Amino acid sequence: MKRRENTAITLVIAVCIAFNVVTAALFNHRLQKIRKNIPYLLEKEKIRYFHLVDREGNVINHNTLHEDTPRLIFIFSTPCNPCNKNLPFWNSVAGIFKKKVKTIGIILDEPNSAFNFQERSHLNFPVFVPEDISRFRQEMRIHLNLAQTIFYADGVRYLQLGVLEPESVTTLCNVIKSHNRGE
Amino acid sequence: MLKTRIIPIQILILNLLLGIPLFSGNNTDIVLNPKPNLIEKNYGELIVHRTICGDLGNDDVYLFSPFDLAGDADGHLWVFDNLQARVIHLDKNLQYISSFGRAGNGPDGFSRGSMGCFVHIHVGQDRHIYANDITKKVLKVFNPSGDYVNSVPYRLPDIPEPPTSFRAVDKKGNFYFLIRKGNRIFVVNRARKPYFDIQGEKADFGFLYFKPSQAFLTYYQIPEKTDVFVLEERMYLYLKNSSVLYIRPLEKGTSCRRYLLHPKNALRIYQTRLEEIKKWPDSYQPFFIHFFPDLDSGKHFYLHLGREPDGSRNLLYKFSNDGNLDEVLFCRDPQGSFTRFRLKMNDTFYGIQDEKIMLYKEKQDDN
Repeated sequence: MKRRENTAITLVIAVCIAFNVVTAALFNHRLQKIRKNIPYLLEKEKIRYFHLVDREGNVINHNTLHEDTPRLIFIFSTPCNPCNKNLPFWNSVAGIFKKKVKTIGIILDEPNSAFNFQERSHLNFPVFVPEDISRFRQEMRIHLNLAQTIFYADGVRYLQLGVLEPESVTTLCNVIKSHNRGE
Repeated sequence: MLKTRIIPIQILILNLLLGIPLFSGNNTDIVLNPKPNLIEKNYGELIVHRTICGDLGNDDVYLFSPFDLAGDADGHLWVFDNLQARVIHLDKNLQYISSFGRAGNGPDGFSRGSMGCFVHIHVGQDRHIYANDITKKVLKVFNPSGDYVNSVPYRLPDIPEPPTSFRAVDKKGNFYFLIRKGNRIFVVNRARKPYFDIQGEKADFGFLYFKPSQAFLTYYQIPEKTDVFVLEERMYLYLKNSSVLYIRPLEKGTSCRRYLLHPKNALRIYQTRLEEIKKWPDSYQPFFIHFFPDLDSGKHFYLHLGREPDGSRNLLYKFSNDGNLDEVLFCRDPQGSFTRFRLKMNDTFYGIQDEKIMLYKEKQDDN
């Protein structure tokens, strides 16, 4: 009698565990799906692919993100209207923090048009193109031609999406400034 | 025969007795300075004294993109930032005091396009801040604390247009607009009452070695091609196409002096520039880019010529109020940059280079 009871309890526990595992797996699967639909990386999400080249063929990869110097990253493409609106702000912020922060622009275009654009628009920061644009877009989850302003320091990302307003640029400047103060 | 000879003499005597000007017309009180000294022999170098950019020591306001500068009687600096649509007030030591303005449609709002706001500012002698919103065609007036006072739209056809950088306000707060009728410019007050007028002369273009194109014959297109400034009791009216300056005391009945400002080297540079733009028929190039008086002494004024053809020096001409050229100042801009000089105050020249405000001082000789 007692043996039968024990078996029943074990069975119930096993069913409960199985149910929890399945629920967790489903939840995780759903979470992954939701994450994939977000058009940007979350704050603590790892950057897996970061292979970029400049005009001279110099390559930078995600190791450079883990250097001590904080990075300011602007992601844009030339036919993107919000990006063009952001360019004066980006130029200005890159100029302001020239000595404290390393700034790079990532243009999601063919290298030729990207570097021609760089020449035309007198940018204050160096420009790179991804070695593999589609992979970069996939890994960074840039589904649209969305302007992204990222401040990356000590593994923490501060992200601004779309058109920048003066207030959001002021906030970005304060974040950079407070980081420098902390150092 | 005798009668015909006598009549002009009689008219002359009558005119002298009655004090009537000899040739009736509105320009009879304009006196051409006989021979101003325009020899470019004294050269002085301007060196960068300080740069203001970005951080103003305040967490609320940064300087992103200065568009125009103005100075007041206390030596304070007012900056219009075209990305933020803000007027920023800095003290004599360039410490942040306050800021006002925003992008938008409200009374204190400035219209913003994809390249920011195009607003020129000026601090009048009445200490009010005059912001000329070129896109919206409105002149907005603020008091020194940044409170909105009123605005004067000039979009309507019967409202006269102020020049692009509107700087014609007297001590009482009266401001002067310009209207053009043919080749004549009328300086009028807000109620369109003519203050004085000047007649355009084709002879002013005698320095051009080719027949002036239509772009130049639209000599009196006011908004872009005329600089007007009221300082103390004088009005300066500089015509950028022909490089003619009129200086007239605000007091009525006083004579207006007219100076042809064509220094030899500047003329050569200007002609080189014209040669470059000749292929575009409607292109336009002012002789001197910008006019501004010396706010310290009021005895001099400056005309910014711009870069030499070889790009080595950025030239600024210093004239005294009697039309004589005192000195040619120059600075050396880094490659790919260009300083637009806007103001001279506190023995310092203020200019805008890229996204920075550059402060220059004259280089002192070691001797």
